Amino acid sequence: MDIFQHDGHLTDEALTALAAGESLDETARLEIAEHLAFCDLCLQRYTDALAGTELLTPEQSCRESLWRRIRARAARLFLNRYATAAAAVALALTMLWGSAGITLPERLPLPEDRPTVSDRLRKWNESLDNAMSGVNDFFDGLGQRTPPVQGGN
Amino acid sequence: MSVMTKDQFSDLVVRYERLVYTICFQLVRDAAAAEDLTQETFLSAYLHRESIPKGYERQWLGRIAANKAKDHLQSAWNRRTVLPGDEGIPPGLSPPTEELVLERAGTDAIRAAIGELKEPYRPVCKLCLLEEKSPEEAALALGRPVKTIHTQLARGKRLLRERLERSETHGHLST
Repeated sequence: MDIFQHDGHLTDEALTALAAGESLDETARLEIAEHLAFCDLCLQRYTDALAGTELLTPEQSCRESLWRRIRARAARLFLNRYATAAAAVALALTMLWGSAGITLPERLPLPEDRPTVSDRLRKWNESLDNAMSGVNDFFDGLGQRTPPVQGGN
Repeated sequence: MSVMTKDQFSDLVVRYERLVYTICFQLVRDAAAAEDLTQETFLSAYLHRESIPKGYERQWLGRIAANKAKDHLQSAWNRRTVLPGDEGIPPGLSPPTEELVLERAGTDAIRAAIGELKEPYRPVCKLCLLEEKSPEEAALALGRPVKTIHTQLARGKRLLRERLERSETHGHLST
């Protein structure tokens, strides 16, 4: 069976065989996948061909595990940002105190009502904790969402 | 373009899960791998959900699924065909045996062997080996991604080597 036409697009025969679930050898399937990965025209022909067939149902739906993975990824991303921000603050404070020690012989007394660096860090920490718990609540809500009826094309 | 909400994305998963699984299964012919690739497809879709073209979700997901299946088949093919020591060869370059056979063969023999190759290898090999175009130039001329040109060129060289070695043995090129 010819997989490709002379113009470089997939043959009707190859697309029909693929959509009908006929066995094609692995190299042919690799060549077809490579072509479908960039050719809009052949992808459209293939999905149109699939529209007229009975679609397969996976033994295990990916929905549950998908949301678990998305949630884990979001948490990891958030923690990475938190760690990066914390490292940046620590570095900035080190540099600030270091340079203050060199240029300022004597520290000026701070007024009582002026917020200190540690106050600001504490507030920043609290706001990050609130944001993190918001993210968790959000994903908890998603996990409890009732799946709609399966269908579609 | 507004970003899809979580509920809208969940509906998308419900609506197209069977389509994506079918595409993955028909390409890889392995149920467990197809299930993994289906999940990978939706994970990628979620991470790039801001670029989902409204009204073309089916084609967009089909494209991602085909890409995932291609990567899966490609790595399986590489595992089977790449010999120990060849792993470090940059994409587009062939193992030394391929290069040696091509260097040894005359231009006419290579031209004849390329003429006998089928799509999608013939135009890639013609441009890169006979016309000495770079993979980037060939990609532009053929409307294919550069990465695809690299893999097709590597596979094309392998086919050429087989043909040229056969012609050395039998004294002529065979189809």
